Formats: sequence, C-alpha cells, structure tokens
Amino acid sequence: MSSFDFNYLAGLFPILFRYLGITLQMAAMASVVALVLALVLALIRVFKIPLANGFVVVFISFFRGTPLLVQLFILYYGLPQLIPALIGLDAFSAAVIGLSLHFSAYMAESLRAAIQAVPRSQWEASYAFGMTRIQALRRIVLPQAVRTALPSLMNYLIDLLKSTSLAFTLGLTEIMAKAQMEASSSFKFFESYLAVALIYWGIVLLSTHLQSKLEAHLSKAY
Amino acid sequence: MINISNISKSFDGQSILKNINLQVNTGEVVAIIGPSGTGKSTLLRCINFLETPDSGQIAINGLTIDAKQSHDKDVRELRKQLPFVFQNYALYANLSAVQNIAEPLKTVWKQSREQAEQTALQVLSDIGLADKARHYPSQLSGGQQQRIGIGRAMATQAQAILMDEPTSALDPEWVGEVLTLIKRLAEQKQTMIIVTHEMAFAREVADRVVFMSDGGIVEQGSPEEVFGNPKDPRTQRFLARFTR
Repeated sequence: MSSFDFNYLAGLFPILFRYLGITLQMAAMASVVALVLALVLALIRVFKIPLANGFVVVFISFFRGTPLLVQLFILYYGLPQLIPALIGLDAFSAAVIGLSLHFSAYMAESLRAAIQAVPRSQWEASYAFGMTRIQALRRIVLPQAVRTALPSLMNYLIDLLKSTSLAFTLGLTEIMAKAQMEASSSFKFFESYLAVALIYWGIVLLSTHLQSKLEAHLSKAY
Repeated sequence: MINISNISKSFDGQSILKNINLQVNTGEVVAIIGPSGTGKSTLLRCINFLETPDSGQIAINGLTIDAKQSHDKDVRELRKQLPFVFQNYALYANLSAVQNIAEPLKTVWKQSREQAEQTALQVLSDIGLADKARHYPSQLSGGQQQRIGIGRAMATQAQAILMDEPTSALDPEWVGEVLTLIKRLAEQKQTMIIVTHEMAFAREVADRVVFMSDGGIVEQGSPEEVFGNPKDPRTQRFLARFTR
C-alpha cells in the first residue's frame, strides 16, 4: 500500500496542462455549434414549421433519450460502416459533432421554453408597428428569451465541458486520456484522477464565476 | 383617408364583427364606444391586421388590402401607417424609453440610429418624459408607460394612430395625464381611431362618435348627435348608464 504522493500529484499538472488546449478547443467549438443549432431547432419548434417540426421533435427526443457515450460510439465506430464517406472522420471532429448534437437538443428545449415565455403582447407590439417576424424575434423577443434561458444554457455549457472527457473513449488524447495513461504507467490512480478532477473543477469554478457576472449584468439592464 | 369596408370576423363560429363599414378622414378623431364584448377592440385589431378579418377590405392612401388575399408585405405597410396603442401599453420590455420610441423608426422606417434617437428624445420631451429617457418600462408608472406607448406611435409620422382603450388598464391617478396627451394630439389634427370607455373624453375630443353593439355599428355622428340625441334604443340604453 502506497500512501498519497503529493509530489507526484503536483508533477502531473504541467503534464496534463499540455492537453488542456485540446479539451478547451473541443468544448469551445462544440459550444458554438450547439448554441447555433439549438436556436435553429428552437425556432422550428416555436414557429411549428411544417415537416421540419416533426423531424426536430424526433431529433430532440433521440438525443435526450440516449446516452452521450452511445451517441459518440454510433457516430465514430458505427456510422462509418454504413456511410463510407465517414471513414475519414477523425476522433476530434466526431467528438465535436457528437457533443454539439447532444447538447443542442437540451439547449433547444430551454430556448424554446424561454421564447414561448415571452408575453404575446411583445410580438404584437412589434408586428403592430410593421416589423417582420425576424425583426420582432431579433430585436424584441430573443433578447428577453435569452435572459430567461441564460442560467440553464450556462449549466448545459458546463456539462458539455465536462462531457468532453468522454472523447477519450474515441481514442482522442485530451486531459482525461492523458490522466489515464499516467495512471496506468505509475499505478497512482488516485493522484492521477484527482489531478484531472481538480482541473475540471477549476475550469467550472471559473465558468460559474463568469456566469454570475453575466447574469448580474443582464438583470441590471431592466 | 381610411376606408374600412365589409369587415367581418368570427371566432370559433361565433360572429364578432358583422359587415363593418367605416370611413375616417384626414385629421379626424373617431371614438368607438359601446358595451363590453361588442367587438370594438376586435375591429381595431382587424384594421391593422393584428387579427386577420374573415372578409372585407382596408384601404389607406392608395394601399388596399383584401382580407382574403393579403400579402405579408402589404400588411406590414398597412401597419406601418397605422401604429397601435395598446390597453396594456406593451412597451418593449428589453428597451429603455428612448429605445422604445426609436425602435420602429430604425427597423421599420429605416432611419439611421442617430436620427431615430434624436426624434425619440424630441418626442420624449414633447410628452414631458425627457428625464426618463434611459428608464426601462418596469421602472415607470402606468401613466408614463402609456404616454411612451403613445409617443412611440406619434414619432412614426404615420397616417393615423389606433388606440385600444388607452386608459382602461391605468390606475385612476394616471388617467388624466394620458387623456391630456391624446387631447393635445387631437388639437394638432392627428388622425386617430380610439376605442374608449371614457364617455366624457369621447364627447370632448372626438369629431365623430361611433356606437357599436353586437358586432355592428348601430349609429354614428358628431358627439352632440350621439350623446345629445341618440336615435337607436340600444344607444339610448347604453348612454343612460353614464348620464345617471
């Protein structure tokens, strides 16, 4: 039985930090794609666009109803067997696509709810002066909806960041994978996984701090 | 100037408006009065297509829109010329007082940001709220919000303003300031169609009073005619409740 090795733990951080970039890059790209996709999905639901609406309902149901890990496996290991064009898909892209699709489904639902929570009179007041639907949405309704949706969207983004750790199952070397490699070569599992946990925790604390600043800023507005 | 012909509207098979015809001239103030649930607000909402009429036409200065074949672009042009003042103010909650007035000028009237804000500030000082320019609707009293609601319509230089019970949602203490503002607009010959429950106000301000009942126009005329010498028994019965 070895005891806790603090020096080993401290020595891990510089090693893991070298792989932090890929984790953050994955998270940032997936966040942007997921948010944009979520908005499109939410608008299709809000405006009940024929045909697309039914597709979106099934899309959201599937991506919320199945585990992210299974979705990543289908995308990376499964689909290329069916669609040869996907054989060249690298693990990083697959992870970004999988995370984007998965989290867009969740974020679409909170955006949809937030848009529908904006009083009807706000739409009417926009239309009554001759605005188009897009103008009403962009200038009046969406700014109000985003304020409502912000806390839950931020929670999903934090969840997304942590979920990038699943990318190691696709063979991608990010901080989780690196921690596992270190653990299996040194047999210091506790220190290795504690180090990676502390790094995730640190980033999430930072994000939460930014979130509360942003919320304070937005609630000051009106 | 505004020509409303054969407007009908029903909800769930229940007929709310029955073949309404109404002409409004430039500079005229028309007050629509009548019992609750008689279709006054629905008529006003049909005039700028917040509700699409089942049939009929609205014409304003060369633009004619048929309810049965209305194009979005025409509807927007109609609405641009007929801005609306809502009972519940319906100011844009995410925008300050000055932005509320400037918003339609920017998005619909294609004014530059500077020009729109300058106009908006001018209107705010006109309505005595220059010091509230940066306040948000939630920070303003009902009376102030409704004055801004009216200012938002005034600023557009549209052909006419539609007002749907502009004082009905106000605490009594704020009614006076809003009526004073509307009265001032009337004196400036601003064309307006006002649905109202304020009989004394309608009598004083309107050039023409339209009495509606059961989804139809029962009688109309000058305030003196309608209030002083109502011909239809329904008008007589309705007005009797106010003069007692």
